[in-house]
Amino acid sequence: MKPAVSARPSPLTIAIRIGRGAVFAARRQPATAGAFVLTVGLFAAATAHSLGFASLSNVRTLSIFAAFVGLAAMGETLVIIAGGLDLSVPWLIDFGGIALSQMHRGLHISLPLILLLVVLLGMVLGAVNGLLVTFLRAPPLIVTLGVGGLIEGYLVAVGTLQSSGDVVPDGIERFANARIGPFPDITLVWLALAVVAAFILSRTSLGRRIYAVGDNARAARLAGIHVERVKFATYVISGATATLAGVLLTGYIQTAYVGMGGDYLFGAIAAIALGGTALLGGTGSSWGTVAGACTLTVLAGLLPVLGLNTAAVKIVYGAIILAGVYFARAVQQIGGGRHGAEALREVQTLQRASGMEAMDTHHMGAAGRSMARHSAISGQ
Amino acid sequence: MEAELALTPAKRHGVWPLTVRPSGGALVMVPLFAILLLTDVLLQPDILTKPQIALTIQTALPLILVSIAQCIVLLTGGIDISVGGTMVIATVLTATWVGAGSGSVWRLMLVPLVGLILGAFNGALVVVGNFEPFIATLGTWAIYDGIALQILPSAGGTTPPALSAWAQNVTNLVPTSVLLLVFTLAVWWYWRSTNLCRHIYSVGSDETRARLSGVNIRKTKFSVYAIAGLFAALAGIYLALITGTGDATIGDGYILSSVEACVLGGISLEGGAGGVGLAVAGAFILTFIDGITSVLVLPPWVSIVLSAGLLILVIGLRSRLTKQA
Repeated sequence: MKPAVSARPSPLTIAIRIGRGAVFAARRQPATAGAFVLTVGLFAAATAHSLGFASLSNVRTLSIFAAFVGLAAMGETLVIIAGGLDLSVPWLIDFGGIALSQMHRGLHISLPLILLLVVLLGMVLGAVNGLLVTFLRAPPLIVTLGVGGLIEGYLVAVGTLQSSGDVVPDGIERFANARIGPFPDITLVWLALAVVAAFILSRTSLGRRIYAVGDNARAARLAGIHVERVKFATYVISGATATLAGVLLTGYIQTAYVGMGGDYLFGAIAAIALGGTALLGGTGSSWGTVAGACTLTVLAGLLPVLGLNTAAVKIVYGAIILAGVYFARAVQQIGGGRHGAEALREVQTLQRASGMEAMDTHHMGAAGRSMARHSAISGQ
Repeated sequence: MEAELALTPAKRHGVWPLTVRPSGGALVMVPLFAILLLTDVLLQPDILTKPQIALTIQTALPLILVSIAQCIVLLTGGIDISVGGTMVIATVLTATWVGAGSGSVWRLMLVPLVGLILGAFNGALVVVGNFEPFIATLGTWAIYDGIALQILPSAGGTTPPALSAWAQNVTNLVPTSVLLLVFTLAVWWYWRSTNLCRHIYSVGSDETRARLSGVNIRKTKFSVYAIAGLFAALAGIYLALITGTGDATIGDGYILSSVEACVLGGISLEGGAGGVGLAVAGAFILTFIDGITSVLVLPPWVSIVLSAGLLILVIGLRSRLTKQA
């Protein structure tokens, strides 16, 4: 045996390891990989057309705009995977910005406290969404549209009462325009939270439950999952991330107004769909949404560079959304993406392992009893 | 009129089992409609003259037509975001391509056809491309909006003056808006006993059962989107005629309003329950709310909060009444 193998692996080894990791990740989340490939392709096309597109400052700007889309869509990704929909996102963004400047003017407390308060209020609004969806058992599209309308009404009322120029706190303006090393703060916040969201989805019990509920709420309930609580949690998270997006957007554009979140109503859903998350629920991933946000942002930056007018930009934008979603679904079918049924099995395994008796046969129909029998048999 | 609106097509024809769910929404809609109508009339009694009634209907009619488009798609359990895009294409075509020239009025006949084709493209995406309706129509909405903007980059253009005068007329023996509304409802009255319409209800209430009963699911869904495109185009044409000009940006507001109108009317998003009459009533409810707030000179947020609050109230009451939303 050779002594003293150099402690540092050679660059080639590192490259191979990264390559292997990428292939592994791509196999596990083919739609995400597809969206990233699409992003890189669009980026290369833009750079080929004008070299300035790849300049550091432009990439930085793009990454900030991707962060806004990504944050707006982050919580909603969880909502959609759990089989819901949150159309109140644009008004939550408006709320985040306007509440921030209102509190800055009205309350004399420190900025971190204001931020905490605004995001907490956003979570409360998300909780209202969640409560109405679970209690009323009403279609989430309508409930969140209604709650969005109520928020808009409140913001318009507040705006007409105090129409003088709202001041954005200096601290948040500085934060939104600052960067750590080469990376803008906003982008780092987004990516850090994306890691958290991905961790929740793939490594925690809540994440497993979210997939199981979205795939088949009935089966999830029979397996002992509190379907309502899981759905409720996703709306609360969505309220938090959308409001945070609003706060950061306000800091970046240095103003707040009703309607500033308007572009994110369908933009967030388009990013989620491009990342391979089906609106039916049960499949998808947080990284997919990150990739989808990148695709949309590069696309939005690329089209004007090509000299297209607003009209052509819209047409191409729509066409790419359709093509991208089609592409995402195609690679997912080939690669066999994560499935909710798989998540449900994992939850059941976890519960059996923790000695929790999920199967209460007294409250179940024939299907549930046969399921319980099956799990009893397979458990032996 | 309310009794007529509350009717659901419960006639049984043919061999397939047609299930019509109890439309709990209508139970909520009728009192709501009555209260708002009464409030509106009490606040401004002179609204009951013929020109004023015609004017109210004229204001409501574009939303009514878009809501009908949305309603037909909702009946199958789908949704159409692109109605706003189809609508503005029809509006700008009416204001430019049809235009003010006397020789080109015949082109107006082709605009509904354009709507039908755009709707059929949505239908093809859903049926052939297997797209989720929300995503398919989200994509085409951007595309159609872009096309409209390409045709007419900034608001302008002129509609045929004679046609506009006809559309805006509120003093005729039968005012145009009343005529069009009655005609639309009559078409629905006839159409709802056709095979296609019964297929729509059976697909919406239980797709598997409909398939087993021999209903051609793909054909039905395709037709639904095409018809929605047609009605969205009609809404666009009418809007262009009553305003006399074109604007490629007015469509977006109608997307969610049309869904709201359908829900306020009592149509289930899961499909199979409700009818065009309910969508028309829902569109009137939204129009009354706007009318009441403008008569009382209330600040704009009152109207926003009122319609959003009613939306949640209606959906809540309905799920309590029917145990299903």
